[in-house]
Amino acid sequence: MPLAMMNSGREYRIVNINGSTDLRMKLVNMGITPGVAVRIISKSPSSLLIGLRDTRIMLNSGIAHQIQVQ
Amino acid sequence: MKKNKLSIALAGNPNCGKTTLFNNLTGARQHVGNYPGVTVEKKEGYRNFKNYALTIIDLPGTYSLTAYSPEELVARNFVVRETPDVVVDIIDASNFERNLYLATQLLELERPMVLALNMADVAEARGIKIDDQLLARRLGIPVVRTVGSRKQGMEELLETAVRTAQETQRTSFVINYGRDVEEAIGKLAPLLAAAQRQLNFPRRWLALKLLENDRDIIESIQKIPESEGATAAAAEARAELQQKLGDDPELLIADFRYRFLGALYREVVTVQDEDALTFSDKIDKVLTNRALGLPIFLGLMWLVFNLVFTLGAYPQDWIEKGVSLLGSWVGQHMAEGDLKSLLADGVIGGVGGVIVFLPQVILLFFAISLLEGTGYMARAAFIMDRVMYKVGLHGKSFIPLLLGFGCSVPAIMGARTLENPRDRLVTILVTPLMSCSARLPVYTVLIAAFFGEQRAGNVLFSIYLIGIILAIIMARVFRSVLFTGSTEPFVMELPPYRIPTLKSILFHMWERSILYLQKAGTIILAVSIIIWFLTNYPTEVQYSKDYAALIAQAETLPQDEVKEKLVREQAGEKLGQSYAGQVGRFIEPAIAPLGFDWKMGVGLFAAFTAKEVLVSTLGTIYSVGAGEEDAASLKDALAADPAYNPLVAYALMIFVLIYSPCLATIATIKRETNSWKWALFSSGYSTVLAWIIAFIVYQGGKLGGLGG
Repeated sequence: MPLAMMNSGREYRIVNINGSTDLRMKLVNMGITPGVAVRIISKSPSSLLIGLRDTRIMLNSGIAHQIQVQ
Repeated sequence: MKKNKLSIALAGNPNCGKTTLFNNLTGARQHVGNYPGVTVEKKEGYRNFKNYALTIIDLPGTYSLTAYSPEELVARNFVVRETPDVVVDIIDASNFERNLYLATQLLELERPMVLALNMADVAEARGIKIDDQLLARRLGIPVVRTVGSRKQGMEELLETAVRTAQETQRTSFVINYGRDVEEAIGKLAPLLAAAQRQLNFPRRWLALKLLENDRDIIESIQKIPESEGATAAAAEARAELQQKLGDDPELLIADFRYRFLGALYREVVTVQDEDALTFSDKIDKVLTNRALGLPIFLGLMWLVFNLVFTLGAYPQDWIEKGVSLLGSWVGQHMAEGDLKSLLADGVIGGVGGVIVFLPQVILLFFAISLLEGTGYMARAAFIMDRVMYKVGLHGKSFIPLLLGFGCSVPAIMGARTLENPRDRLVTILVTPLMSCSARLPVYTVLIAAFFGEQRAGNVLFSIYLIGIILAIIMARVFRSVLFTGSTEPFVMELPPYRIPTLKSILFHMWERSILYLQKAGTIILAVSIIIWFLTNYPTEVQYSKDYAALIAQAETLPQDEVKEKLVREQAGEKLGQSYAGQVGRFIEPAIAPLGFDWKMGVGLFAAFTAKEVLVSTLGTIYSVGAGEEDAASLKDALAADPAYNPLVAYALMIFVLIYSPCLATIATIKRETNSWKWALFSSGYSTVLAWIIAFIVYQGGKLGGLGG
C-alpha cells in the first residue's frame, strides 16, 4: 500500500518504490530504499514527515504515493 | 622557516555538522566565493598547524556523487581535478548507514581520505556504540572521533589528515557489486585507459559511472576519440544488465552499496537501546502537529517581532542620543561653511539616521540564527508546505522567504537549495516582498510620527502581513502565467533539534549584521553626501521675496516668530529650487495620485540604492530645510510637515514595502538567475505593483474619509 495512505504511529517496511529512475535514485541516495523500516512522524494535507535510518525526511504526497509499504 | 602547504577538502552529508567543524578548524580566516560557472558556494578557510599552512575547502553538502545536482558534480570534480592532498569525510555517527553511503563513493575515487566520526556523543547517548577501530580496518582509512559543538578531536583530526596526506601507500577500497555488474566492469575497464589519463578519474569508477548512465561522465568520455567504443559498449552492457536483473543498473549498484553498508553496520555498531521514538521525534510530534503546528509557528513569529521591537528600543534610544550629541557637538565646534553643513546635515543626519536601527537589525538576525540553529527553520518549511502548495510552490521555498525578513540578498541566495528552476525563479521574484530589515527604519520613523504608541504594533504587523499576502498572490500569478507546470515532487531532510551554542548563534548573527553596518559606511554614506549636495546646490537661487531685507526688518520686532517663519520659508524655497527639488518636482506628477510630494519623491528615488536611504534622505532634506537652529528629530519634522497625514504615511510605507528591490538585491537576482532580464523584471513589476496598491490605499482612504 502507498505510504501516503498510512497513519502516523505505526512502523512500516518499504517494499517497492515506483516512478522515474531519477526520482528513485534521488530517494535511494537519501536512504529511502526498499527493505528499510519507516514511520510517519507527522502528516499534513500536502506532505509527510517520515522517520527512517535515524533521520527525518519530509516529502510531498506525490512522492509518498510512489512508495509502497507493508 | 618555510611552511609546507597542504589542502584539505571537507565532504559530508547536509546536516552532518560540517559547517561547525569547518568553523572550528579555520576560525575567522575564511573566504566565500562561488565555484566557476555554477551557483554553488565555495568556502575556503586557512589554518596554520604545526609546520603546515593548511587550506581547508568546505565542499557542498551532498548525499551522493551522482550527476543529479550541481553540488554533487562540484564535489566530485573538486576531489578529482583539484586533487586536494586529503579528503576528510564527516559522518554523522547517529545516522551511520546513510552517511557512509557517500563515504563509499568518495573511497572509490581513490584519494587519500580520513573519516571524521562526528557527534559520536549524541549517538552514544542514544545507545548506539561504534567500534571505530574496526571501522577503520574495514574501510582502510583512519577514523577520528569528533564532537563539533564542543570542539573535541580537532587537533587529532588535523594531525591525522596531515599524516594521511603524506602517506604514499594507498589501500584500495573495492565493493563487490555482484557477478553481473563486475563482469560488465571487467569488460569496460580496458576501453577506458585514455579516459582515465585525461579525466583523472579511476578506471573502475569510470566504468561504474558508465553503467550508472552518468550524463556528465558519458559526455566527457564521448569527447575523447581513443575511448570512442566505451560509451557504446556501456550502453549495451546496461541493456543486458537491465534485462538480466530486471531493474536499472544504477539502482542495483546503489542497492549493493547499501547491502555492503548494512553488513558493515551490523559488524561495527552495537545498538543497546532500541527506542524508535527519539527526543527529536517527540518534539516533532508537537511542533509539526497538523492542528498545533501552524498556531505555534505564528505565535513564535509574533513573539520574535515583539521581542525585536521592545528589546531593540532601549539601545536604539542610546544610539539616538549619541548621534544627536555628536550632531550638536559638530554644530558648536566647527566653523560655519560647507564642510560643517556636509558633516552635520549630510553625514550625521543621513548615516546616523540609519545606524540608529542597528540594534533591531541585530536582534532580528539573532532570532533568525536561533531559528536556524535549533532546527526549527526546517520545520517551518514543513508546516508552511500546505500553504505554499496552494500557490504552486512547496515548503522548501518558505525558508528563503523567511530569511527575507532579514535581508533579501541572502534570502535570494538561499533559493539555490530549490532544485527546480521554475520554483527558484518564482521564489526569487517574490522574496523581496518579504519586508527586510532595511525597510524597518522607514516604518519605525513614520509610525512614530503619525500613529500612537498603542496602534504602532498593529500598524507595523499589517505592513508585514500585506507583504506576505502579496508574496503569496504574486507567486500564484507567476506560477500560473509565467511558469506553468505541475508542482515538482520534493524531498528534504530535516536536521535533528539541537541546542545551538551561543557562540555559533552570535557568529551567524554578526556575519549578517556586519553587512548592514558596511552598507551604512559605504552606499548610505555615499548617497547621503550626494543628497546633501543635491539639496544644497545651486547656492544662488531666485527668491520670490527679498528675504534679506525682510529678515533685517523683522529683527527690529520684539517677537522672534516672524523672523523664524521667514528663515524657514527661505530655506524651504531654496530647497525647492535645488537640484534635488528639481528631481523631486520631475517625479511629483507620477506620485501625486498616491498623496506623495516632491520630497518623498526624492527620498524614494534615492532609496532605490537601499531602502533605509529614504530615512537618511529625508533626514538630510529636513535638517537642511530647517535652517540653522535644528534641534527637532526627523520624526517631529515629519509630524509638523503639512504634506503628511496618517493616510499618506501609510501609503508611503506600502510603497516602500513593495517597490523595486534595492540595488544590492537586483545585482543578486542578476547573478543568481544569470540574466539581466529577470533582475529588471523584478524591479519593474514591483514598482508597478507598488504604485497600484498605494493608489488603492490612498484614494480608497480618501473616499472613506480618512486622512483629512
